[in-house]
Amino acid sequence: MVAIVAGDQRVYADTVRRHARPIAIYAYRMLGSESEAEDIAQETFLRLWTQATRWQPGKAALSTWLHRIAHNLCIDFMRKNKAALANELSDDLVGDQMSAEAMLDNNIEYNKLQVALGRLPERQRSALVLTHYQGLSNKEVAGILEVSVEALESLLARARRTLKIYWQAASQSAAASGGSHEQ
Amino acid sequence: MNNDIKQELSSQRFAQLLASYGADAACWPAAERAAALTFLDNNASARAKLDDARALDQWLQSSASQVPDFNGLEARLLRHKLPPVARSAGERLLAWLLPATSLELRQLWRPLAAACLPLAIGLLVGFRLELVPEVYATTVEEELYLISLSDYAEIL
Repeated sequence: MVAIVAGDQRVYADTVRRHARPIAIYAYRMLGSESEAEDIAQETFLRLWTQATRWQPGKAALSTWLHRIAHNLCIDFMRKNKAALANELSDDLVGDQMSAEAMLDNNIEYNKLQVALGRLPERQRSALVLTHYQGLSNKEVAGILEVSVEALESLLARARRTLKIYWQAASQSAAASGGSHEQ
Repeated sequence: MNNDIKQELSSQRFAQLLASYGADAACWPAAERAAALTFLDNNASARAKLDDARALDQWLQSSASQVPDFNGLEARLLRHKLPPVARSAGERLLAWLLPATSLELRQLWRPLAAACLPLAIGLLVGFRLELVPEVYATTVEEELYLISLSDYAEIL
């Protein structure tokens, strides 16, 4: 990091190789769009280059700091494109993919889950994705979201409660459609 | 009684852990993991709650591998030209004061630089301001003029 501050492009390239994919995957889970996720990753690493002096090693690991930048960019993006994102989620993730006849069952489940995730409030979604999928510790996630660990647990509990309702509805509709197929 | 309260609190906390982090012990806060696992071993109802939470976890996990692989992402990111980093005068001064060295060296250098800063400012002020009193050197003509004035005063 010290080298990046000093303008060493080789160290910057190494950092991109090590951290780009997790950041892009995080953005993808937040936004549901591969191209937007890549744009977020691009902007995150641009900020790493231009604002490296802002990173405080004693306060957060580099990956946590990068997730924080990506998180803020995702939130900004979602707020600016709220209506467009809602349509994109329902069209891309449900319409286009579900119309394919050869879709596997787990793809259907995945789409339902993505739609359910997309309907969670931003902070709940972020808390769940960072904790469950990105594998960050509760303290790291609390730092990224700028909340206490207790507040993070509350966000997570609410997110899981909502997802459970979607999951139960999805299970019931799957059982019902299975039953109607049998008839 | 105390034991009962403790048991109840642990049970409540265990339920909170499941509600927030799910059934995977690896996701539980490291500081509470061992205690939660012990509680789980000794409590049948806790195991039932765990199974309930696990079902949702499995649904969440169904999408774990279903993300784009972002092939060639790193190369695409590195293809973009990096802008020159514009630093303000203050940042340049800070960079000069706090050079890009290892963390250990910086920890030693920073207090030293901070301690030397008042000295440097004092020296700068000292050189800039003319603190030495002006010497009123007089020329021979001026002295003669002054003597003549004093002579004139005596006559008067």
